[in-house]
Amino acid sequence: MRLPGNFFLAVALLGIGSSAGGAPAPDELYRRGMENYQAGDFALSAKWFGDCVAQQPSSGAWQNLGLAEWQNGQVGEAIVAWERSAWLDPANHAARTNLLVARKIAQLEAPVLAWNEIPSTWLSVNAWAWLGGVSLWAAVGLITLPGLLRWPRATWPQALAATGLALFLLSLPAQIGAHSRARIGFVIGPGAALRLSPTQDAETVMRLAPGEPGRGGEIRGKYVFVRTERSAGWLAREQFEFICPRPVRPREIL
Amino acid sequence: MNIRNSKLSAGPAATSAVYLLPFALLLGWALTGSPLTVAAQSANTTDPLMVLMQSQPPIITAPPKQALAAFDPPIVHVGEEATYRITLDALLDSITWPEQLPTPNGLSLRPSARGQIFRQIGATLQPHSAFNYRARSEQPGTYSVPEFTVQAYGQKVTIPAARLEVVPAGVTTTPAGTRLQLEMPLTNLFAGQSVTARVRQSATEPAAIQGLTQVELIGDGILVDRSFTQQRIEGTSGKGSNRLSFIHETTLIPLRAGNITVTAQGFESASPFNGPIALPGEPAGFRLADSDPVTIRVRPLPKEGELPGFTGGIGHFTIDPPLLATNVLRVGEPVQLTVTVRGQGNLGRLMRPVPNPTSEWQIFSENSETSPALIRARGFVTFRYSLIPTSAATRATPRLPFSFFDPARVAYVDLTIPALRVTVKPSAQPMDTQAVAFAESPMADAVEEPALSELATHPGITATSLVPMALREWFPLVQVTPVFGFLGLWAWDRRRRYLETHPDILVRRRARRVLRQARRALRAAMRDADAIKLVNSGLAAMRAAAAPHFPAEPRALVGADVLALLTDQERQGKIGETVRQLFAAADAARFDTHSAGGPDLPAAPADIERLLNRLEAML
Repeated sequence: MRLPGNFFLAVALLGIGSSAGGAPAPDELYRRGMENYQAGDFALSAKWFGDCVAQQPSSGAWQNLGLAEWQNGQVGEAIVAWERSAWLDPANHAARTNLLVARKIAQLEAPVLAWNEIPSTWLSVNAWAWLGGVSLWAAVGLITLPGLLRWPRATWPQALAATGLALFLLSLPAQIGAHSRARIGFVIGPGAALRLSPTQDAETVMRLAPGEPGRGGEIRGKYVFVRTERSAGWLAREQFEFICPRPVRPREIL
Repeated sequence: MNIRNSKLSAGPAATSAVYLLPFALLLGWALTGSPLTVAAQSANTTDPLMVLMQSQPPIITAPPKQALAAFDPPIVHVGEEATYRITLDALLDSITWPEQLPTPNGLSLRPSARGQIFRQIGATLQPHSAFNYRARSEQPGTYSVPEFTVQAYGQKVTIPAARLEVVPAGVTTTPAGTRLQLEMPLTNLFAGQSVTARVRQSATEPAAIQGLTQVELIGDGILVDRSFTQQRIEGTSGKGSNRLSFIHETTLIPLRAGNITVTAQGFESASPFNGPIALPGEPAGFRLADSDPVTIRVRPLPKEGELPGFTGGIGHFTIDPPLLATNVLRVGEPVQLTVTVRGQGNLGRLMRPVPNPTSEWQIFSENSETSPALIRARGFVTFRYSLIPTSAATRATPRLPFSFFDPARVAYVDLTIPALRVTVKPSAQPMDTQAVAFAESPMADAVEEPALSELATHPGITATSLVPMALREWFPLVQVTPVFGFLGLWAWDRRRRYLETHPDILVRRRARRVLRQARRALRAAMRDADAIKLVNSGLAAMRAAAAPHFPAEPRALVGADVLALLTDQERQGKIGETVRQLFAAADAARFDTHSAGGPDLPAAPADIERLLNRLEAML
């Protein structure tokens, strides 16, 4: 079938039109954010970096967004941004240092991690998933393929299979830890009230400072159940930001 | 023999003693020293902190029944300041004080001091809070601050009205009460520079002495060093009489640059000591007095010209020649270095020089427990370091960079502690010098202070989403994909093993394939009416179909072999005839050299097809 020339022209025009009329590219947003930060306009810088990470999350953009939010006095938002930067790139030393400094200045605690969550911070969560999958199937393949393909009997497939199996087993706790770390979140905005029940008139258990960590659980209406080191209760959803944005199930939107 | 007899005679008793001994020991241990007993004893012991708290007299926290408000002095000249003082018996923190007081027109009130003191009444303590305002008017007249209420312990307390009379100059007024004088020898300082602030309370009457307590310096951005405080009484001559002054000296350190306003306040005894001596236990009145504000100008330390080893020393200092305990030592043996710094300034708070990390020495600073007050009183401070050489090639102690800022010269002065020559001998014991050399120095840790990072110039690692890959919908499918691959491989291997045990299947399959090819050639020969090609194709197809029944090469089969596969009826019938004709035609085409045009068609194509169908059915 021969496509008419007008078809390609229409596609090209559509592409040009969409790129010209849509939002700026992430690189352009990143550049604008840096320029405004260096000019001292931290609010505008935070906006550009926020748009940048909304289009294409990157470790550097999250780190810079945290710096801009910190300069704006938004402690909670800054800590969330740096945590996300470290979530994407655990080797980002700058983000980790910023978290240390910010928590020292704001007198905040870091989230208490379980034993299996600590190794999950050594690699990115996707790296753990790949490592687990590849090592498992490599081990299975190295166990089965020599028999199926009638390779000469040798030691190295067995050694590699044992290594792959060991890697898979060792990566399992870290993968579980990465999943449980995705439930960690941080209080944003001032005056966050932890309530006994998910209603506006509920009794306030305690007030949480911006940047305080917690583990989110069930979502009910406009509230999310948050467990902190000191207490547990319901917090308004807009005042609690997960490290990993959690998709809201249809039944949770009430 | 006697012994043996005695053993025998004492046998039952000794056995009983052996059995009872552990129980006796256990009982004794339980009654005297068991942990339970100790715990019970400790539980009965009263907590010393509780004893200390209970020994303190209780504080009266009843709401005050009345408050006092008065101007001191009640009559002033135009432009002069009077102190508007409000006192009430309540804890300062329990009082909700209004931001603005009801002020009559023409009178200005400026807050100047507020404080709290406890007065002992019998076995209890009565809190006493006071609020001072400076009142001033430029117009003569009588000004009255009306009655108003404040909250104390949650209850309303009425502050009575007070009246101030402002008279023109030349009219006799009442003498004012005592006011404190804040004297600062220097009012142009650098941030961190210490200065002695002097609070003077002059007696109102000749030869009278008044006490002053709870003296405080109030100001934003200052640090009052209470480790060095002096109080004394001085005689002051003036106005034709000698008066005694109570002097309170303390050290003040400005912490920020800019203009800082400092005031002094303190509680003075309302009863001067020139009258009868008050008997112990007699209630004494306290009056809050304050000083006029003094403004000091504070400049930041210049960044230009700062020398290495500056640890915040501001003043004028000198160092004595450093003392080394010995200059002949061995690798791994510590030696003490003593550095004495003398001078004036913030000597009591002077931080020790921090040595630079070096691979030849491991340096530990020894903590000094000398109080700042003692250091200031004796005029010098001593820093001691323990140095451990890590190499026999070391020839001198490390230089310790040190400097201070001289406010008089407005410059940094170098006081680096020089290196001292030493002779280091090899260690008598084997020593891991590398481990010592590269051990992290605690002082090096103290220098590093983490700070916020700079902007990241590149986005770094990017992702399509923050959601972990393992939580996305497609990830389980990707993980299951290898399962299908392995299942396919397993099925293939199983089939292969089956064919290996049944090779005839492959032979027959191969025969059918050859048969199909031969049939296609046969049909082509029929279309072309090529008798030789037809004979050869028919023969090849027949041999291929018959070969699996014999362990033989198809080309080796002869007509009898093919006929042997047929039933007797078939051999005698048309099918057998076709076989014989084809073989005969093939032999004729091969060996008959007399016929020119080649063989005739040996059989009808339908017969050949029938024959091949029969042979194929047998595969």
